[in-house]
Amino acid sequence: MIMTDYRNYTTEDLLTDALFRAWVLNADPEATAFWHYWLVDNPDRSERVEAARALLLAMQEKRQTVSDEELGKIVEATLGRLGNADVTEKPSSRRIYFILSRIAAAIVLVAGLGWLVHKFPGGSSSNVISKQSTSDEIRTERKNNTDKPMTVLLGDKSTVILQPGSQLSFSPAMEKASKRIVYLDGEGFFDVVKDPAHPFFVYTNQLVTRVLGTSFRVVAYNREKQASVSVVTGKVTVFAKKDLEKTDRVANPPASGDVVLSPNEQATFTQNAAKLTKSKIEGLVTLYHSPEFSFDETPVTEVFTALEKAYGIDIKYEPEKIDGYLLTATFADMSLHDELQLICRIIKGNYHIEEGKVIIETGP
Amino acid sequence: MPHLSENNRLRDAQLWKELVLGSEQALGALMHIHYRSLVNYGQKFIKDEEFLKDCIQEMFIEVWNRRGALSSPNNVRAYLFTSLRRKVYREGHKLQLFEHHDMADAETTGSTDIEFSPEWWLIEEESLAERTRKMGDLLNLLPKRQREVIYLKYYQELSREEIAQVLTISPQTVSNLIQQAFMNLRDRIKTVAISLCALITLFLGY
Repeated sequence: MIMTDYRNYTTEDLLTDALFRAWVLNADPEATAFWHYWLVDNPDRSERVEAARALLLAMQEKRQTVSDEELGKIVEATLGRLGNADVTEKPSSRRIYFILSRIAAAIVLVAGLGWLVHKFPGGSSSNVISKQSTSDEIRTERKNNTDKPMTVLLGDKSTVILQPGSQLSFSPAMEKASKRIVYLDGEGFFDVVKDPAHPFFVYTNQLVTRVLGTSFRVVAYNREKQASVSVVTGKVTVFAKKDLEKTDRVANPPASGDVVLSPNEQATFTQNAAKLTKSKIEGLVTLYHSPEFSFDETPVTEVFTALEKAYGIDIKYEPEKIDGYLLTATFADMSLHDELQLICRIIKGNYHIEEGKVIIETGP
Repeated sequence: MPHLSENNRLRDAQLWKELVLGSEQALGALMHIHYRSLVNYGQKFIKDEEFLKDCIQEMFIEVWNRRGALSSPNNVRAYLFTSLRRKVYREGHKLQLFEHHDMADAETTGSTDIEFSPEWWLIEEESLAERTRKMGDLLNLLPKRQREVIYLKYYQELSREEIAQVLTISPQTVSNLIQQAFMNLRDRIKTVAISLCALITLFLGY
């Protein structure tokens, strides 16, 4: 093998050299080792090398944001959408469709878990409850004492529509944790913001539902005699909480005892068998649908008021900063997050959730 | 200088042929090969990553849907870059992500307002981070045409001809722009403080 004489390399040569790029851009271990030793041997060339390195990094800006796994999923998702040519033919629905493509929607029904408490070998409700209450972390608790559905905003911008009599608890800084975990007692419709690096978990008494980013429904009424999980679109993994305790299921991929649900599939617990069985289900899409809005050159302040009213939430903003922005759009089947994101694009702002309120940030 | 680019070009052309014949796998392969480059390129003129990724996905789906009508591009990579830029501006315009003059610019000159923000980059080594940031500043001082040419050539490793195709200019103009860019960088570097003297040696080699 002929050794390249890098001593004579100009910056331009370095910038286009495969071994150099493997070190700078991909942190390839062999290339890194090579350049490390080469620099020790050739200290008089270090400035040239460092400068070329900085130039490449300045153009790269940030480390690879798409992992191999993520890329594989993206390709799979794209191939899965081939043949849906009709969607791209309709320009009017196109914009909404475009935004919707980001929402992997799933509806999950988990019904009647209470009775399982005594049926599951090794699992006991008091055990589970005490485990939750002795936890050191501070939890925010939201209970819907009204007779209407209530929207709860989570710090990661996910939303939960909580049904009357239901309760949700979560850590106030859940969005900063490696796993996003909420505890549900009752019924809730979850619209989870996609974040593959931080999977989202819904814990109920006996079941854990894991998703990366999707919308789904969890119903866990104690009085029901049957438990089920149903999905409309997207994918969720369901497993018994006792399995979670055995191994670190949170970090691991689905195992044999888990049920991975695809669209129109349902997992059911029956009284006689302490395991999940899978079956088909139709017609869940219509169970939950988000409010529809139609705006025609409507001032953004009025748009916010409409959203506040429809979702029963608070939106804080500086009116003078968004004065003069008009919105013409139809929001149908969109999550609150997507609606807010779209508006923020128009007003060139951003938003975050603070103590259950939407805070709109606008530039100076 | 080793020339892998010709091999890559032939590989892409082969995959494109298979794609036209209806191979979904070929489309997947092209995505695997070019996706990251497209994300990096797109990020230069649109910061909304989710939006960008949607655009890339839509673009590949459009290629698939129109595969019967598309003529084989002589350079797939350059074709994808051009398509992405058009796509981002078209969709971005609908969502009002761009100012009007940006749009007019992109349409008439085929040039986009590329900007480097290496402060996003979290570099462990303090000195390298500082150097990278300064280098980003220097690059941003270049006229935008020169900036884009430098980026396409040295980051994306596009050939002179490929760049010419993406920017719809002649290969000779590409060469001129690169030369001007390096001259500009050299001049600017002279006026910057001593900490950057290293860069002078860098560009003297050119």
